[in-house]
This record gives sequence, structure tokens and C-alpha cells, in this order.
Amino acid sequence: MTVPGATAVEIADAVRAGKLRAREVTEQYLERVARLDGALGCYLLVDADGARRRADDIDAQKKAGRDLGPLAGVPLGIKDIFCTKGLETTCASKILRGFVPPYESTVTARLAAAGSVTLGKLNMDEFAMGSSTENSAFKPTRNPWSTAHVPGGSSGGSAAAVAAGLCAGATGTDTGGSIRQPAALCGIVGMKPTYGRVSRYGVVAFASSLDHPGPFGRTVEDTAALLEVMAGVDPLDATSIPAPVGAYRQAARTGREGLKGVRLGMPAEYFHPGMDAEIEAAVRAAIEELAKAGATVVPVSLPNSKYAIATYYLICTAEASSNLARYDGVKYGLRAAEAKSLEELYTRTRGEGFGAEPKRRIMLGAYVLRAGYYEAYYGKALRARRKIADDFAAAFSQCDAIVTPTSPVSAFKFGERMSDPLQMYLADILTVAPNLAGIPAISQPCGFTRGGLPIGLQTIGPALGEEICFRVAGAYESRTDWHKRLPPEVA
Amino acid sequence: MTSDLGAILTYVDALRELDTAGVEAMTHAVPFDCPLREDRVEPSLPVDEALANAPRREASFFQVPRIVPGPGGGGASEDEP
Repeated sequence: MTVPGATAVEIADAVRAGKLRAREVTEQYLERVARLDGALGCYLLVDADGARRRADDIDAQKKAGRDLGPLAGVPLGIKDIFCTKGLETTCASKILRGFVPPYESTVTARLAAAGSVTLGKLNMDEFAMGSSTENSAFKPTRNPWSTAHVPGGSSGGSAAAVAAGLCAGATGTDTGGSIRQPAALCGIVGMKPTYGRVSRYGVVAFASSLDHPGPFGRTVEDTAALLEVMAGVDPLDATSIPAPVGAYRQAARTGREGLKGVRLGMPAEYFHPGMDAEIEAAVRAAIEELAKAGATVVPVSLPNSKYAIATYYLICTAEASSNLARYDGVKYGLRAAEAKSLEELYTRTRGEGFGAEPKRRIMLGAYVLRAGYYEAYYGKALRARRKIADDFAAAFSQCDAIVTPTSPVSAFKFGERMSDPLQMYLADILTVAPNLAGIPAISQPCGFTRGGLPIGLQTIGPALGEEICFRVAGAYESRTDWHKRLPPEVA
Repeated sequence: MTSDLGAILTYVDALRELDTAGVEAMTHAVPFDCPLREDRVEPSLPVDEALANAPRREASFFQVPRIVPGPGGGGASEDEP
């Protein structure tokens, strides 16, 4: 078995069956990372020694006759927003450089308990704020399909690493599209589950009511296998949902048998005139393929979609300004040198430590929350959020899942949107509404542009409807082979 | 930065046209009642681990520049113990 040809599920099956050693898989991935990541910039930190120790431990458990976990020997990359005990966690920000968490996030603890091997920490937009990973304080990440293009963001390091075969799966977080948009731009699968389905404990907070941790995989089943491990109630996250975890892998496999009886909603608002023609054509063709698989496609309406970006940026900046108040140079991370007073320590630390985008959002958030403006901005946005969520609830009375493009554009070039923050915000126009509603959505590859850049199909489900998302995605994947393509430069 | 913020605020002003009269604010993505655990002391982070990332510490405290003037009327100083 060689990487990057094998899927995570195949690796785990082989390791569990004793046909493949975890150490061997880990070495193959570490070799690829050493050879290819210099040009791609996916990893902020490679923990080669830790990965080898962990792999050896899995192999020792196998030798001792113990039953291995469902992700035995699967090498994973972890977005650098997840706290990893003893392993530096920076959120790609100078203000957290050198921070070594004294505790482990629930997600990474569960993945490790399932037998996976953490290879290292992956690059991202600073504090998950951005759609291109250009906001990383440390380095850019390049799209494996074209190094002149961005990988999307904010989980750009995760998506690019999976696409390039520099890990067999990865974690991400999605506050307004930060898993699905980079998955689409890098030609892989990414899933944002229902809010509360995956614990946020130990995930650095950006906008707490919108932050959704989730998995990336090369295939739908890999992504489902990762989510089965990551999901579940957690006493350390008061917002986690006490419902049983679904059979996501089974749902992905069921999709291969067709979609008879499944009603798919197609919202006119997500196929707007300004959309890239190649993307629209690819997504319409994908929906026709789902109809051939047996699904009934029905028109649905999400009339408040045009307010989603404004609503999202009011809420996420308000929450960010509050969450990021904790970075003050007192307890951890950067402390500005030579501050003469406590106030100077705060202002200089934050001035030196935060990049432009977090500063922009902290100021916007403080502005929309200030006395006299609170109701006009933040209060209004919370009411608009309800209307957007109600749109989905009404649509799901007519269909089982909603299918749309993931991103209105394919990967853009470095610098193209950096000069205009509003243009960058609009990159998330098709992904933010499921965050506001807290409902699950998956992105998977459904074609390529003439320039060879991937195109993503998004399937949105009702609350706790992860299984229907995986079923639809599994159906599409079994009838196409976009997911089998590998970026030419890293194959 | 100022013009960026101005452009973003102009964009979000579009929300004004949306009629939200009588709509309840949505503060959580899913219906949510804050669950309470049993009121029992559980293990917490040892002091040394909690302080391991401190830019400056003294004994079991995070150290910051002096907040109140010293007894001699001196101002704040980073070098104060």
C-alpha cells in the first residue's frame, strides 16, 4: 500500500488487520511532508518524533493482540486552532507564538484515542479570519492544483495538505465556510456538522455561536469515519448536543445504492447571475447526476439569503471582539517589551500581536456592540439570523437536503482579494447561512475549471441531518471519479 | 483601515431594509438550556502548569506592571517585585 493512493479507511483497515504497520504509513507521510511541504506551506509544525512514537505505540498494541481503534495508524494533520497538549498552538497569530497548551482539545483527544497519528499542526488564516489563508501571520499556503492560487481558508493548510497527500485526513473549523470553501478550492471533501455535534472544548474561540469543528477527507467515507470519532456529547462543552452519533459511514455507503425517494431542494438564490459560468455548469450537471441516481429535484426558496453576509459579519465581529479580549499579554503568548503600565502592556501587546484582519474585526465588533448602536446592529443581526434559519426550516418541509455550489468562484490568485476585505468576505456568500442556522453541510469535488482548478458541490441538511448529507455525497461520489484525481505536481 | 471599515459598515447597512418586527432574536444556533453539573470539586490544572506559559510570573502569580503607586509615591514600574 502506498500513499497518497490509499484512503484513511483503507489505511485503518490494513493496520487493524495487521497487514500494514502504522510506523510504515507514518514514515511514508513524513517523507512526503519533508519533500513537498517546502513548496506548499501546509504545516506550521511537524511533530515527526511524536508521530513515530505514536505509530510505534499502535504497532505495539497490535502485537500485544489488542483491538485497535477505528482510525488505527491514520496520519492526520490538525488545524493549528485545536489545543494540543505539549505541542505549540498558535492559531497562526504572533500573539500566541510559543503558546504550549497545558490541555488537549476534545476533538484531538478523541482522534488519538481512535488510534490516529498526529503528524503536525496546519496553517490557517490568523484566528480563522479569512478565506484564503493569506492572513496567516507566518506564511502563505499554496493550492496543490496551482501554486499561483490560494487554497481557500481559513482552514487552507488542512485542505491543501489532504489534497496533496501530506496527511490522510485533517481537522478544521468552519465559522462561515472555513471547512467547505477550502475543501471546494482544493478538490477534497469537507464537512461542517450541526452546531454542537462536535465539541468546541480546546478550540481557540473566534465566534462562539458560529464556530463548528469538523473533518476533511479525500473521500466521503473517510470524512464520515473522522466525524464518527470527532462527534458526540462532551461535558466540557455546554453547547454540545446529547444525541447519539449517527452512522455516517453507513450513510455514505447507502448512497452508493442510489437516492430513490430523496427530495433535493435547489434554491434559486444560490444560482445568481454573477456566478462563474463554469461553476454553475458543473454544479447543475452534478445535480442532474443526483437526479439520475434516483433523487427528485424540487425548487425551493431561501428568500433572506442576500442578508446572510451582512448578518454574519455583524455577529461574528461582535463575538470576536469579546473572545479576543483575552489576549492581553498577561497569562500566555506575546507580551510587548518595556511596557511601563498595565494599560500600555495591553495596548502594545495587542497592537504588536494581532494582524490587520483580527484588528479590523475587533474594532468592527466593538463598534456594533457599543451603547446606542447595539440594537441597530447586533440586535438587528440576531433577528435577521432567525429569519435566515426559518427559511431553511421552511425549505426542509419540502425537501430532505439542499444542493448548491460551495463557492461562487474557483481558487483565486494570491493578492487578488487582499486589498479589499469586503471582496474577501463575499467569498463566503454560499457557505455562511448554514453557520447562522447551525445546520450541517458538506462540500465535495464536482469538476474542474478549464484552468484545472477544482469546483465544489455543497449539500446542506436539516439539524442533525449529517446522515442525509453523507448519503447524497456518497451517491454522487460513487457515480463520478473527480475524487480520484490527484494534483499533478504532487502525485 | 478607516475606509475598509467604512465600506463594510455601508454594506451591512443593507440589513436596515429587512423587516424584523416581532422576530425573536436568535442568540443560539440550536435550542439550548445551560446544563448544570453536580456541584462537586473536580481536579483542576496544577498551578505550575497553569503558569507555564506566563510571560512573567512570581511565585504562584502572573506578574504585571505595578497597578497602584508604591508607598514612596513612585509610579508604575516593570521592575517592582
